[in-house]
Amino acid sequence: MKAVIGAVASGVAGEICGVGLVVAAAWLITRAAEQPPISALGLAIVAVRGFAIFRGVFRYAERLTGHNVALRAVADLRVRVYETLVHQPKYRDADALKRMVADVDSVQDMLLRVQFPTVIALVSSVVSITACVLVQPDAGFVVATGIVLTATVVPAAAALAARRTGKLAAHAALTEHTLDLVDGARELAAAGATEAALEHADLSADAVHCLERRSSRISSFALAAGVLLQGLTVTVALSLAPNEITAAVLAFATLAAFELLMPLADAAQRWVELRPAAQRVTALFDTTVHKRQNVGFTLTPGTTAVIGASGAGKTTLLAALAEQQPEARALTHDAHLFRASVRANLVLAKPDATEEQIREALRQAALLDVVGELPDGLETVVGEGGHGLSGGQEQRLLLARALLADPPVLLLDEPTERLDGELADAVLDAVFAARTGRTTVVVTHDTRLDRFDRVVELDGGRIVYEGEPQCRSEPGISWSGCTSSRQSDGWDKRSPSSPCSSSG
Amino acid sequence: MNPARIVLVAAQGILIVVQAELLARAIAHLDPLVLPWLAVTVAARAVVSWAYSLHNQRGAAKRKADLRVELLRRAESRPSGGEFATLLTKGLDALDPYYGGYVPQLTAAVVIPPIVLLRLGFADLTSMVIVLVTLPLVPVFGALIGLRTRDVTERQWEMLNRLGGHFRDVVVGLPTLRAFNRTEHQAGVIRTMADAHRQVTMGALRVAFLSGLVLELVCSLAVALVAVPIGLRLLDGGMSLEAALVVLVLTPEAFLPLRALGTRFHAGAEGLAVLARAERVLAEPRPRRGKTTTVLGEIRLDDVTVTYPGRSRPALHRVSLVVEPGERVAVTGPSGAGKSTLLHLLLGFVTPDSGRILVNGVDLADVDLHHWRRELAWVPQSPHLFAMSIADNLRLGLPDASDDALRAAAHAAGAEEFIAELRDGYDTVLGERGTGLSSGQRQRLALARAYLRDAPLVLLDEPTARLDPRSESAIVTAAESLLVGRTSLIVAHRPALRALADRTLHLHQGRA
Repeated sequence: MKAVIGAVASGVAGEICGVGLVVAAAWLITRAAEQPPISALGLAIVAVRGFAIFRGVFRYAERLTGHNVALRAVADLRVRVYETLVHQPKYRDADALKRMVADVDSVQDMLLRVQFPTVIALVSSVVSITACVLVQPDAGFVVATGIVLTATVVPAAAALAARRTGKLAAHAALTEHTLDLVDGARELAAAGATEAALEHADLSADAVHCLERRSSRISSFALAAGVLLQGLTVTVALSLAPNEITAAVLAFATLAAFELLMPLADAAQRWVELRPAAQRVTALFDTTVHKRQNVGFTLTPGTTAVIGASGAGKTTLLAALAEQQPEARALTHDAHLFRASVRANLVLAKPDATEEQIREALRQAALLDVVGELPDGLETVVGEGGHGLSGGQEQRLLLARALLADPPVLLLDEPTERLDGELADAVLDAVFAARTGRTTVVVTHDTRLDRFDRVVELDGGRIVYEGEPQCRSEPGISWSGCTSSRQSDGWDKRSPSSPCSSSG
Repeated sequence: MNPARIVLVAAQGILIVVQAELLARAIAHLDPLVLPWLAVTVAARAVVSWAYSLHNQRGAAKRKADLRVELLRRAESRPSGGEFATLLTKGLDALDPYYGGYVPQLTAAVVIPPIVLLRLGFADLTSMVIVLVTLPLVPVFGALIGLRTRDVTERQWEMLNRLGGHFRDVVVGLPTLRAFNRTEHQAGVIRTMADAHRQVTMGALRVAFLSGLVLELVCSLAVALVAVPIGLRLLDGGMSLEAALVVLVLTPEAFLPLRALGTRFHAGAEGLAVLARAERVLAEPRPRRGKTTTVLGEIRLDDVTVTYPGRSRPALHRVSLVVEPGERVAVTGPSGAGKSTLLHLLLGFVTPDSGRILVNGVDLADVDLHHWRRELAWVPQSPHLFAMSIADNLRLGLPDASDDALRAAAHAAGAEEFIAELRDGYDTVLGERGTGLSSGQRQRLALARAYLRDAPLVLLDEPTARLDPRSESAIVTAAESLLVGRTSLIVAHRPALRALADRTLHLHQGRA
C-alpha cells in the first residue's frame, strides 16, 4: 500500500510540475512585462527551472515504482491463484489453465495502464482546479466544469468505441470461418468448395470492418470533443480575467490541466479490454470447492478395462476414482511434461527413486533406447521450449513416470493411444507384467479385451456391463454360464455392490 | 505519402499558430473582441482533428480489411488454424496504432515543427534558434538510448521469458502435480520465481525508462531556456508581451509531435512486425494450376518418391502401383509408413519429388486439380466439420443436392438416427470444429458427405481409428455400401475394414 501511494504521489508530482512549469513561465512573462525590479522575478525563475527538471525525474520515479508495485501485485496474485487452483480439481482443462495464466498477467496491465493513470490524472486535475479557483473563483468554476465534462465524455466515448470493436460475435464468426478455411482446407479443396467458403469468410471480415468504421466515428468524435472543450474553456475563462497576469495564469493552467486528462481515454479503452480477464480471475476465488463423487463400482486387484463409446463417461469415471482413492495415481490426458530434464520429470512421481528404478520404468515404457539417444540422456531438458519428443515418445515418458510411482492403484487413460499397434501391445504387456498383484484400471479402445481380468462398459454415463471380458455380450453372440453382468442406473449414485472391495 | 493527410496536418499546424496568436492577443491586451475569433479557431481545430482522426482510423480499418481478404485466400497453405485466426483478428489489430497512430504521427512530426518554427522566427529569432538547436536532440537521444536499451533488454529477454514461463508451466502441469501429491512446495517456488522475474524486469526497466526521462528533460528544459531569457528581455522593454506569449505557447507545440512519435514508436514497431508477418504469408508462392482434364480410369503410380521438407527419410520411396477401375485396394502398414501420403498424392495435396502419377494415361502434374477432384470422394482420418448446419456440412461437395438425396446419404452412412435426435435435426448448426459430436458421429457424417458426393473414386483414410468396437462395426457396415461399384483405396489398420478390399498393399517405411 505504501508503495502504491508512493507511485501515485510521484505521478501526481510529475504532472503538477508539468502544469507548474507553464504556469510559472506564464506568470514570469506577464509579470516581467510590468517591468518590476528583477528581484520580484527571482522565485519564478527558480520555479521554472526547478519544475522543468523535476517533471522528468518524478515521471521516471513514477514509472519505476508503478511497475515495481504491479509486478509485486502479480507475484502475490500468482501464488494466490495457484493455491486456489490446487484445491479446485475441476480446473483440469489445459486451455482453461493457460487462459488463467494470461488473465493473471492482464491484471498487471489493469494496474499500470488503467488504475494508476486514472488516479494520477484525477488527483492532479483536482489540484489544478483548486489552484484556478484560488486565482479567480468565477473562472475556476468554469475550468472545473470544463474538466469534469471532458473527464466524463471523452473516456466514456473511448470505452464505447472499444466495446464496439470488441463485439465478440463478429470476431468469433471471423475466427470460426478462418479456422474452417485452414483446418478444413484439404476437405474444402477435395470437395471443390473453397470459393464458397471464402465468400462466407469475406462476409464476416466485412462485418468486422463495419464495426471498426463505426467505432472510429465514436473515437474521432471523442477527440474533437476534447479539443473543443479545452479551447472553449480557455476562451470563457479569459473573458472573466481582470488583468493580464490572471489571464495568462488561467489560460496556461487550463491548457495544461486538460492535457492531464489525455491518458483517461486510453485507460477507458484498456479497461473495457481487460475487464473480462480481471473478472475471470476474481470469479476463480469465488467458486465453491468441488464436491466428491461417489463411484458406483469397486476396484479389484488385477487389470480392469473401461470401455465405451466416446462421451460415455470414461474419463469422468477415472477422475472420480482418482479422487475417491487417495493412494491412486492417474495418467490422464491432462498429464503435463514440465520444462525440466527427463530425470526431473520422472522423479516427480517418486523423489527417492534409485537409478535402477528409473531405468526399469523407462524399460517398461519401451523408452530406454530413446532416452539413450537423446543429446544429454536423462539430463536432456524436455517440455515446452526443450528438446522436442514425438507424440508417442511423450506419451511413453508420461507412462514411465506413472509406473515409477508404483502406486497400489494405477489409473491409465488410453495410455497407448498415440502408439502403433505392435508397440502398443508390447507396452501394455510390459505394464501388466510390472503391475502383477496390484490394481490397474485402463481406459481403452483396444479390441483385445481378453487380456484384461475384468471389463467395465459405460454408455451415457452409466455402467452397462461389469464382469469378465468373455461374458460381455456382443450383438448376435451369446455366452452361457455368465452371471456377473448387470445393468445399473448411473454409476455415480450407486453404492458398492461387488464382494471384492478394495475401495476406501 | 497520403495527400489528404498532409493537407489535414498542415491545416492543424496553421490553426495551432493562429490559436497561439489569438490567445496571446487576448491575454496581452485583455481584448474581449478577440475571444469570438478564438472560439471560431478552436471550433475549426476540433473539426480538423475530427476529420484527421477519422481519416487515419478509417485508413487503418481499410488496410486491415484488405489484408484480411488477401490473407484469407492464403488460408489453405497455413499450418495452424488457431495461429492464423489470431493473426487475422488480434494480430492485425496491431495495425491500428501503426496506421492510425504511428504513420500519421510521422507526417505530423515532419510538417508541424517547421510551421511552428517559422512563426517563432517572426516573433523572436533567438527563441527560434534555441528551439531549432534543441529540437533534433529528441530524435537523436531517442535513437541513441533506444539502441542501448534494446541491447540490454534483448540480453535479458531470454531470462525474463524463462522466469515468466515458469508460472504457466506449473499451472498447466497442476493436474500432474496433484496426481503425484507434489503441489505443496510449488507456491514457494512460484513466489521465488516471480520475485526473481520482478528484479530482472526492474533492472531492464531502469535503463529502458531512461529514454523517457531524457526526452522529458529536453522538452521541459527547452521551455525553461526560452521562457527565462524572454522574461529578462521583457524587463528591459526589449520585447512586446504579445510576442513573448506567442513564443511561450508555441515552444511546446514544436516539441509535441516528436515526443508523441517517441511514445508511439513501440506500437509502430509492433505494427511493422505484424505487417512483415502478413507480407511473408502473402509472398509465399501459390501452387501452379494445370490445364488438362481427365476422368477416372486406370491409376498408375510410377516409381513415386515423396520427401517432406525437413525430413531425411522419404515418406514414400519408389512406390509403383496400378489400380484398375472398380478395384478396391486396402493399404496397410505401421504409422509413418506413407499410407496417408499415398492418398494425398491422388488428391493432389502433395506432388512427387520423382516419378509420375498417371490417371487414364494423363500425368496428374498437368491436370487441373479442381476438375480432377470432382472424380473423388475422400474420408480423412479425423474429418473436419465446419461451423455451419449439418445439412450444409453434408452438402459440402454438392451444394445443390436435394433433401431426399441428403437423407439417403445420411441413412446409408448410419447417421440418420443421431441426426434426428439433435435439437434442430439437419439444421443443427455445429460449433467450432463440430463440438458436441463424438468421433464416431463425425466419421459417419464424413461418410455421408462422401455418399452424397457420389464420386467414382473413394479414398478412405483409417475411418475407424480411435473408435470403440461398436462404432467401428457401424462404420464398416456404412463403408461397405459406399464402396459398391466404386474404385477405392482404403487405409486400414484393423481387419474388419481391410476385409472390404479385393487386395492389400502393405507399406513399410515408405516402401511397398
